[in-house]
Amino acid sequence: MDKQYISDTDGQRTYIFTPAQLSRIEAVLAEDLLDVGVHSVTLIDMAGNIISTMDNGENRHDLYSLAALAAGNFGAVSTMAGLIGEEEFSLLFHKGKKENIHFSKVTDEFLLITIFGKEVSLGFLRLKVAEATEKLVIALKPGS
Amino acid sequence: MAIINLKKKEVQAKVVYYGPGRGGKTTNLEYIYKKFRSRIQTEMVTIKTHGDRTLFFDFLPIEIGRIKGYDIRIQLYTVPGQVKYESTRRLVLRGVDGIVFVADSLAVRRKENVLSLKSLADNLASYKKSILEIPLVFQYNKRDLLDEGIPLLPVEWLEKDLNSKLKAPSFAASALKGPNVVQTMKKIIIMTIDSLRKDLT
Amino acid sequence: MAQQRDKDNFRSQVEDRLDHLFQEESPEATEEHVGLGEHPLKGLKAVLLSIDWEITDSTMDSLLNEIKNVEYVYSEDKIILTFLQLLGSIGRYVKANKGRAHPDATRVINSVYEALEKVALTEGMTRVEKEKMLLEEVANFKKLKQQVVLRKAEKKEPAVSEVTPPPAPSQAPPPAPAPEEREIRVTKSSAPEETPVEVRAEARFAEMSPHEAFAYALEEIKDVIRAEFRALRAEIKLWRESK
Repeated sequence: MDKQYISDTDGQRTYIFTPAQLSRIEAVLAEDLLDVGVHSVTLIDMAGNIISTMDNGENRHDLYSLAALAAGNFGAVSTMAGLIGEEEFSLLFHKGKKENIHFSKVTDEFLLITIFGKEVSLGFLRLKVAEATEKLVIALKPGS
Repeated sequence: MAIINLKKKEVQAKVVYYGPGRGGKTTNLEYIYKKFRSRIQTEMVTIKTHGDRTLFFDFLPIEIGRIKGYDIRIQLYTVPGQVKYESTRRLVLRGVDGIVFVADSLAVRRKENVLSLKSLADNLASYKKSILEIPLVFQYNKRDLLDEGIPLLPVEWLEKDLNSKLKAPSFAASALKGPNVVQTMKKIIIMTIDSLRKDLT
Repeated sequence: MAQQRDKDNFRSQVEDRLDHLFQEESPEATEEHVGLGEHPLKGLKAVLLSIDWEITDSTMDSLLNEIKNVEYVYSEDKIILTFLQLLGSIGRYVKANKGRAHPDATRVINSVYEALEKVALTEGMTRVEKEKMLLEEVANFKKLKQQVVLRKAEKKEPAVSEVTPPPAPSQAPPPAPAPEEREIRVTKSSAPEETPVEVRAEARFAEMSPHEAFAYALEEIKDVIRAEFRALRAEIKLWRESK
């Protein structure tokens, strides 16, 4: 009963994620990111909906609001990039005292939000995010 | 676009309140939030200017509960109404599944309503969506001002200006006082979920 | 009346602000550390900051080059040279492994650098104090090495048991992935057991000078790697024979 993944940019209406697909996504998030010590990782779409989210069990944040804001923020920043003649920015990252947040595009439709602390350096996180993104792109393909 | 999670049996959909500036979009959400806070149990997010006007968007997630085995979550958004925020409005419209057009009943805002509706159609088109096909409800807001003697557009005029082609459901309302705020929301949620039903079976 | 009060208030705020801005420098105000200015470590610090943000072949090469530059400047200073060797070793590990490197690796790099900066810049630090700081960082380095080895053991173990019915599940953990140690010549006849070596090492470190301790730790790594490769080759041979 595996249905087609339908892209929003073609004017279509719905994404349907199968249990198998979601399990694969969760595995990537857990192994590549959570296991190296990030606090939480969330995959959202550009409308602000949450596809999948995992955390290390501490500090529950309001992820639905974060997702909505992240999508809006990313959209705004992408538009700004266009305004200054850039195709896109390669780093979108906010540094806090205890928690930091990193955003990364996974295809044009999805966004990965990682919240992490001092345990992981930004440079290392970016490497892991790149690895995770490659695997997520495959997991998100239609019929996968 | 709506997200259906077959593993968690969860549906997420996005409804945007659109319309001219100061028309009552944020007031709609604030009314819903205030009235049903204890039942909704989620926080409303607003991004405003110092002058209390929506700068980016307002956001209110509503969990409807389980229907046909699926947990349904509707995210209500408003867009900023001021003319200069056109690109922001387009951003917020991304992935929209249902729209409430909040028209301003003030006579002096007649032109702004029409221009705002046109911008909605254009912005939807930029995402290859058609205003003729997306679930849409009209709300003719500020009807309470009639009692204060302020010149308002008759509902018939608003219908003719805005709804003659679309023939969408419409409600005369007062977002400030309450009448038809919840009814508007219920209608658009039902229409939105309805449009997803075929994907749930 | 109120106007006068406001005026006085305003004036006193201005006065306070001016006092704050033009305060005389007191001796306690000067820091023990001199700022980097044109110091030889400036380039190294800059490249480490860039690694915090981005780990690529390019940034890691910059690190390794900068280490060489600083080694040249401090060629007579054994303590600083040892610090630089620690940095270089971890740097090469991270460059070779990138995303598969242990997450703590960059933390240890930063810790080693901070100690190095203190040792290089603090006026009047005694040799004993410097050696103490170096020894602490050697211990950090060693701990990282252990964690790397442990992590590889955890990851490899399931695969090994899937492939072979374990006649001899590896007693010795898999090799630490330092790339320059990959051309191994198996010369030693017996592999030192991990635990006894640790115990011996800890006792010995206390007696050694820091650069001796580091050299010893490096030798230890080499021994372990040789033993692991031998064990791995034996396992592979067994697996092939069982197929």
